[in-house]
Amino acid sequence: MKQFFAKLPVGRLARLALFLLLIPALILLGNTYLTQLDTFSYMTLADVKERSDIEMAIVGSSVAEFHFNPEIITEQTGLTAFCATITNLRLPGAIALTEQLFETNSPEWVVLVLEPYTFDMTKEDTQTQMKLAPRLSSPLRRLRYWLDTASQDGETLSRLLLMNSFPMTSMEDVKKAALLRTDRQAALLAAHEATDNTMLYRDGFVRLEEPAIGRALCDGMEREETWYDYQLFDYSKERLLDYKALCEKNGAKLIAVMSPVLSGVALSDPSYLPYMEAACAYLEEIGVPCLNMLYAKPELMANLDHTYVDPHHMHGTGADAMSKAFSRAFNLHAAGEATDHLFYQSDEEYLASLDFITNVWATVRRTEEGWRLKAYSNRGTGVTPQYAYALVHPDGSETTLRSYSKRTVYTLPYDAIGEGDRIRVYARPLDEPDGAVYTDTTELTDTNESTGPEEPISAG
Amino acid sequence: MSLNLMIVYALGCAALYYVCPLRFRWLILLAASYGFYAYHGLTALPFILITTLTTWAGALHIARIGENGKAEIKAKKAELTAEARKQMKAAVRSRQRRWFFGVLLLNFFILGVLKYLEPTLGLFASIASVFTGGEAARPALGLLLPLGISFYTFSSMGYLIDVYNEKYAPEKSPLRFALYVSFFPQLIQGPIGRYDHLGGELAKEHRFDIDGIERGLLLMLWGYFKKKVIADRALPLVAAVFDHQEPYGGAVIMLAVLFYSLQQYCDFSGGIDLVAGIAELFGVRLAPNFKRPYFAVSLGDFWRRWHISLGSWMRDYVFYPFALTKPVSRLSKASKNRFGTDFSRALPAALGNVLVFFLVGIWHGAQMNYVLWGLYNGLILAFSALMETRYKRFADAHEGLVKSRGFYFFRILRTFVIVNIGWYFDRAMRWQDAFAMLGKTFTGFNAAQLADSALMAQLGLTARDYGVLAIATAILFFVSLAQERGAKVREWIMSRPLVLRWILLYAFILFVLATFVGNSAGTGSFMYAVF
Repeated sequence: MKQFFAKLPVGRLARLALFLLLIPALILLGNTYLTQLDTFSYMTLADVKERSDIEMAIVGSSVAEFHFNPEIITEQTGLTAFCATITNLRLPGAIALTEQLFETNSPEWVVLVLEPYTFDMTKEDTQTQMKLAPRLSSPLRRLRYWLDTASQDGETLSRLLLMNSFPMTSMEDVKKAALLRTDRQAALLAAHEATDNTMLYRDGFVRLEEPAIGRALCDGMEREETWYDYQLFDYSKERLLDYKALCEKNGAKLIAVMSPVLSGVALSDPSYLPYMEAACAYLEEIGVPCLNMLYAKPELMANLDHTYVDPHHMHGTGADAMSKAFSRAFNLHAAGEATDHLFYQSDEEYLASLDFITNVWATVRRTEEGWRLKAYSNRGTGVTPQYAYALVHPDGSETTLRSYSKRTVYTLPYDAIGEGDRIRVYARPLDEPDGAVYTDTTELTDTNESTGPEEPISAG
Repeated sequence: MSLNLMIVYALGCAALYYVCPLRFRWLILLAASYGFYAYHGLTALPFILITTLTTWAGALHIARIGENGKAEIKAKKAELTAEARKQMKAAVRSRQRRWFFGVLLLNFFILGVLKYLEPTLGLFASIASVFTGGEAARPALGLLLPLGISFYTFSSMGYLIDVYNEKYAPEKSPLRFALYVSFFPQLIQGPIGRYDHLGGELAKEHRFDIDGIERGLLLMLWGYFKKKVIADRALPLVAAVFDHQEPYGGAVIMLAVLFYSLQQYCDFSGGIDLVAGIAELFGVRLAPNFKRPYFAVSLGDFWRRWHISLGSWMRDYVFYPFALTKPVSRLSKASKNRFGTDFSRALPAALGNVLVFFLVGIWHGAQMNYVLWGLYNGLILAFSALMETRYKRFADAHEGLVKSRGFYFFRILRTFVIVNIGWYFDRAMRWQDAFAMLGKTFTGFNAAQLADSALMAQLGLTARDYGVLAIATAILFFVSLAQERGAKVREWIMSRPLVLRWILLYAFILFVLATFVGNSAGTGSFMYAVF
């Protein structure tokens, strides 16, 4: 062995080692300069690094990015607010981003905005990583963030080589990157123009000015439409403790906010409400106060379903209302006063407050007489539903099979169905013509045959 | 084991290899090889062990029979007549032959059952479907296919044949022989190591050689570039067209065939470069398996440059033994009077080529398209062999033309076209598809499809993909051209001043890192890993 080491060409080996050691630097460089740039994330990170006056940092994914207007919050709370957000940001990213923020800022408050999708998904979205990692100033932080995310899904290489996963693919990408690096304001204006001024950035907040679709988004929504994995994973719990420790270490007070969501989305999954409650309870348990904005009472915030542009995001007017409501609750909390009276304390209370139907669906089953259809709906517990059935023909026209009735079951004879006909079910609260929602059309085939009923939320 | 994991594994093993005392290093390599094999499934281990043990013991026994026989003849030399000596020699040879064929058949039987039984049944079903007009039902026996079974079986049987023919003495150590059979870099897709070269390389005591390691790393990088940047990027288009050829006209099909040329070459030769680079980390130099085949000037030249180890195996163990058999010699002589001396001389080579390529076709898989691909190549080579004298006469009469640069390029282009026609059969899902695609290339070109952006979008490649492929192919072409002209590219890079060398290497590494294709459906694994 001694002889072996004596004969080693140490100089050459050191040179080879140096060559290999510089490859990570090459990767850092490539990830920074060869990946696509997202204008709003780039602006947010640039602001985070340049500013030192942030007193309230609102950290989260798009539900924070689109819903918390710092101008209003600053005005209402007296604290200089900023949205440190990136679309789809989850806890590993939130930690990296908040660390970055603490480098130049000493916020008094950190508001962590959560929803199941961002809170309890263990896998950080690689696109979020692409937007965040190359903009982090410390290589060590980038390394930690990469290791943290890769440990969750084993996508080690694609998460390491962002320049490969998200390369610039066109001259437009190159021009955009060059403009962002040389003249951020011009790049921002270009981004505003590119979206016809329907997405306006300021202080990390992106104001959506698209027309709202509201509850119509729930038309056709099935009972269970979810991407969520409704468990409180140990990983998420640990990251949350890390996050809390990070804030404590930097002298910031942490408060969590559960994001509101379109009522139909909240009710379309039986696990959603219990999950939100459990998540809030866990936060309280570890000493992080939690404001569950989904359960906000009308005196704090009116139902904002009509302001949604998609099932998860409100437009600017909704964001303003949400920001005001949050500010009010926050001010009470910051002053040490109780906020419980502003929120429903359980799903029963919340469901009792809803006076509309969110979504409807039907099960179908073969019987001797024909297809047996049975309608179900999600709704407030005080609502009595009425159902109507229609046959939708291939040309889109409809034939009413049965007008609104409290009866849920309807049997459709086999010979009443034409080639390509589908079934549609309407629901509305008792004698309220304006409150109608309907199913996506259902084909009557053996493959669609349901074997049993599926219980609705708040079955009355 | 994924490609990236294999590289990490190889680097780890190499580190362990060099910290071990010199005389134990080959044992590390053996352990690494079996570790690699075991990683791919313990159930396949008995098969490689059977091949190793039967071949090692069989060869040793065959050699001992020969030695003992010789010793006996020598001892009794004085008392034996020439005829008796001849009889004794024949008896010895006969005993050797029994053992030889026993081991040979056992191992080819294992290979045949595991690799060819299912496709052979499929082939029969396919042939039957031609007559019945129905759809060929493919049997699914679910047999295990051990990793690299053809490669290690061919290597082992080549060794057995050589020992039987007394080309060299058998290996006495079962462990050293086990290393030769299982040497892990070449288990996935070859090359088919020959014992007289690889056995010697593995037996050497390899000292730590930083130059060799740097050269190995460079070759690995080049192989990775070919495989992950070019081959895997071209794959979606090839798969899209060949797997569902119906909507496409001749122009798109031709594009797919050209991409397949690129993909297959880069996949296979890139894999071989990686394997050779990994072997060089351990100080082992593998024999070359590719020599820039697309610069070949004839089909024969092409096959001397493509998968050289299989070609030389077939040449030494099939072509020559077959061409020199008595029936072929008799046939050759018999044809002399009817077709002339030139034909008679070329006939054994022509028949040998048909047989060899029929077998190579079968080696690729017992499906009709592979058989047709093999026969296509074999028949062209047979025709070339039969026409060789006439071509020489033509060359003598038109020396200026034949030696001109234009004619040289014409020959390269002609060879390229011939090879690519063969690829229709090699890659098509069914032989009927190959004919349909070939037909469309000549009769339904439909060049307008190339301008149909919606249709082209279905082929799975973006504008960036085409751009990356263009740049990468240009790099590959210029490096190959330099090598074809005799340049030693690795040596050239290694001899540049440090700063320039590092800039070149970093630029190339950055290009590879930014453009390699991650493992998605169909990519990542080597095409030849299934052979």
